[in-house]
Amino acid sequence: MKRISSFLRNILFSNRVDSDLSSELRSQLELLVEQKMAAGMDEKEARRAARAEFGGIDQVAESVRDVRIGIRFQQFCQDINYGARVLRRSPGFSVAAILVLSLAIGANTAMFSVIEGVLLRPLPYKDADRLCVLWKSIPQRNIEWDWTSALTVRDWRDQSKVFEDVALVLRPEGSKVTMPGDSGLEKVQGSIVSGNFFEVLGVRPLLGRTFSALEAERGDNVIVLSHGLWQQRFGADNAVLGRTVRIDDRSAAIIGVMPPSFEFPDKDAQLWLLLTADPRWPTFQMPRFRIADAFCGLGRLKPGRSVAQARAEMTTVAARLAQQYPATDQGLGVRVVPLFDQIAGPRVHGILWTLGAAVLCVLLIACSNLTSLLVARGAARRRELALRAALGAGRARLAAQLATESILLALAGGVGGILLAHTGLHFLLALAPSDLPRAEGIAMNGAVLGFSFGLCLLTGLACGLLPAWQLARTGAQTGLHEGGRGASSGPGVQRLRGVLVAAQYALAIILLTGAGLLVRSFLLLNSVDRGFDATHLLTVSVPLPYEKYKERARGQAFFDEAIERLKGLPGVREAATGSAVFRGFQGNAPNQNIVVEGQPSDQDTTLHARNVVSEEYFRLLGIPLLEGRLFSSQDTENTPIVAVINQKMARHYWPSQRAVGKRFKEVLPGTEGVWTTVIGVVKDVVYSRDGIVIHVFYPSARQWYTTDRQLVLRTTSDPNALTGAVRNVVQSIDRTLPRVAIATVENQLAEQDKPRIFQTGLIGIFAGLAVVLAATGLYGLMAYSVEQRTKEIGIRVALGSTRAGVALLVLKQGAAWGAGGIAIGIAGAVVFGRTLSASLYGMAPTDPFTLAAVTAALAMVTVLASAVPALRAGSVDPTVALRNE
Amino acid sequence: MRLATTELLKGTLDLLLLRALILQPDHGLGIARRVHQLTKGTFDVKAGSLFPALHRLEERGWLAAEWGQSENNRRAKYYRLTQRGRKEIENQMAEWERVSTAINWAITATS
Repeated sequence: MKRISSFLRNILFSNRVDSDLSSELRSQLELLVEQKMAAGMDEKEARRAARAEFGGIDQVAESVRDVRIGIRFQQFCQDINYGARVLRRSPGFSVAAILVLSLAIGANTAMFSVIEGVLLRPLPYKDADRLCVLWKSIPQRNIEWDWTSALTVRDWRDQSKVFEDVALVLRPEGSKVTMPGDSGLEKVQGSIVSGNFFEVLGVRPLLGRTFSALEAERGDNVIVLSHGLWQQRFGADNAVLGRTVRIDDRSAAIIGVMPPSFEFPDKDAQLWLLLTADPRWPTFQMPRFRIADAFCGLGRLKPGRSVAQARAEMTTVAARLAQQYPATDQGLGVRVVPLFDQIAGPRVHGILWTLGAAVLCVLLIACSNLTSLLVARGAARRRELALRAALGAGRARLAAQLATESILLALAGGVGGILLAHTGLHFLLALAPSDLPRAEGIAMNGAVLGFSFGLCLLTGLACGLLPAWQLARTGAQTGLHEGGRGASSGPGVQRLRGVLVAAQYALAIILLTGAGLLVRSFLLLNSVDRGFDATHLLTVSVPLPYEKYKERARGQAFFDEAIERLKGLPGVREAATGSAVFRGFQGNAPNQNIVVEGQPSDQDTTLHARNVVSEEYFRLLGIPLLEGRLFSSQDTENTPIVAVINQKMARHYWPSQRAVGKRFKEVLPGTEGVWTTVIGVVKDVVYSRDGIVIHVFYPSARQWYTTDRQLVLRTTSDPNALTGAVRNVVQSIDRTLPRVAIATVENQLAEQDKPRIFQTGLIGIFAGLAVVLAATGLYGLMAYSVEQRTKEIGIRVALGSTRAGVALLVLKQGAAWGAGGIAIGIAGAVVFGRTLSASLYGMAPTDPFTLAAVTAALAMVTVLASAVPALRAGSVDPTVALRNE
Repeated sequence: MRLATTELLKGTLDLLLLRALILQPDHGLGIARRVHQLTKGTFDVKAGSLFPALHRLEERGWLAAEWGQSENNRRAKYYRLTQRGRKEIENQMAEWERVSTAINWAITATS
């Protein structure tokens, strides 16, 4: 109790406590003087003796203050006060320091917001760590994951014991439904799932309810809406529950609305439908459909079971199924992926953590930049600190003072940083690829602000530590002796700052190399000859309703008419069936095997793509024929199946023979497939933005019938201007058709570029920041050093050194620090480059061209940063320099 | 032999200061003089150690301080033992005995 009241008294009435103390001490001193006089000394003598015995009143008072309760708090307040005053007194330094820190902390905060939202925040599901996604894998063909059949997932569930339950999720391509929209029917991305889906995830709807067991059993037409669809289509109306909407050819009742955070399997899914209500459900359950690539499993582990246990058990299950169904399940495995890893896969992890490391490098550079400034200031302030030490402040107290100042700076920088991050985050999200998972949840929340605050404290401490340590080592007392205006430096300080500058250089070169590698990859990818002209190309995805067009003649008639009429549109030069852009492998044909006549089939691990095209396709894209012939109107459904293949495929399967006339077939495990004769070989083209040529075979659209087709148009003018006309033509052939997706090839390729631009752009920005900071660091050091050495330089010039010689001396010193940093940085850059290797194209992380360019660039920066101080050194007037002392 | 107070065992100074006030309240210099007498001139408490210690004891509630008149009619701050201070003396005496016995044992055992 007494202690608390003492604390409050000391804090609240500190003035009174202090004056009380000094009057106590003064009266005691007087008392001592009187005692001395009483013992026979004269007043002057007594006073001197008393002084000697008692000590200075101020010193005694200071030592009493040092032990008082609450002293730390009081000192802390004083330090802040004093620190703020010191910082206000040198506004140039403070503004520069705060600016540097704002940039660094802002960039880190913005980046952390993204990492927190995407990688660190737990999924919005109950016990999300118990959720796993189950895929089929084909180890022999290096296919790590693929869709499987409903029956297989059911077997996985029934034959395993680690899962509480396993739900079925149909692949997104098969889950699109048509819904009436503002302008007629529209295709909407749905997710078709088993009745236990929401229970397995453990989520509750925002409104209404999810599927009941009875509805699942009966296969009722009920749907659950996503928050986004509910807002856009239904005006966020609470009365939406119970309303019926037309879905494909049936009418379905809305029973619930999910919260905004719910995105599954990804953010594209707009509504959830019952699998048992789907017209294809009876087909999916047929035994011959075991070969399907349509579903994945979503499993919830029993409490206490681990993913490793699940993997072990599923391996056994897969082996058992291979015995049970040798025709279809031979060589198949089960891949168990924790849901979290599925949503933010290794690529997202890789990109975000690499960016996180890069932005941390910027912070480190900023820190060492500021530390270097503080060390210099600490040296210059030695006299002030020595004065405070003489007045009774201990070393710890002075160190605390310095740390407080740098923490104050860091906090001010943090405020600026948070404001910057707020703007920067918008920029970041605009740049982010559209498939960045959980991007909607990214925000500057409490966790982010806490991170920022922690970062400020750490930064402040880290920056303040070195100057404080330096002070403790040299001792503040020496400052008064050193005297003169040279109250500074010494070689130690200079060396320390040099090391810091070298460290900044090392970090900057790491970032610059990363940026250089990515930019060069990007340029190389841009200059890849894709084999056809991608400008003036428009693609149209036409998904004909299966039920209506399952008859080949009817669908073929539709596409024939569409192509004929599109050709007639003004501005369209040519139209054909076929794809001109591939998104990636999984969408194409991952699980089919190519079997070549007369060659063993089980060793084939290469992936291929199938591109169903019409006769005009090759002419339209401008893909030259190298061998054999292209399709003609003689190739029909009644003639033997033929295909054109690309050069890469021809060389792979028939390395020393003519491919034309040879036969191959594409088989699903468990099916026979149809022998296809190669009639021609065409030149390789690059269909995606990764610059890779894959095996492609082109069946004729007349022989290979599908209701979902891609059309491609070559236009004479801006393809974007034609989308409306193209849509009208397609819709006019069949008014019941859902809205078709039309996009230019260039736009689709640009969309594929977004992750690369995101990564390259950000690392580029960070590298730019790093170089600017490192350059100012070196400039600061050199300028300061020249100022410190004015006298020495003056003597050199007086003794006959030429101005050029003096400038060169300074330049050499700058170059030495820069070169040291560059050497260390190159080693780090190689390590950092390796983390980027997944994003590099056409070069190794040790790409000599990039390393050389980066080294040259930084060497130039070094020279530029040292040039101004060197010139100043060269212009030192010896008479002025020497008189200055 | 004279010892500087810095060489005192930690806590010993507190005990000496408290003991010095057992008979009557006194001001800082008076207390120092009393310690000097009590220890037969062994301990000479300097102002730089004396006043911090007194203020610390006061903040803990073992001493109470108030302004009063000194022997030659000068205003001075007087310290007096509180009830808790008297109790603290007993505690510290017990502790001191325990420690000094232990040290004695240690010394006799090694010699």
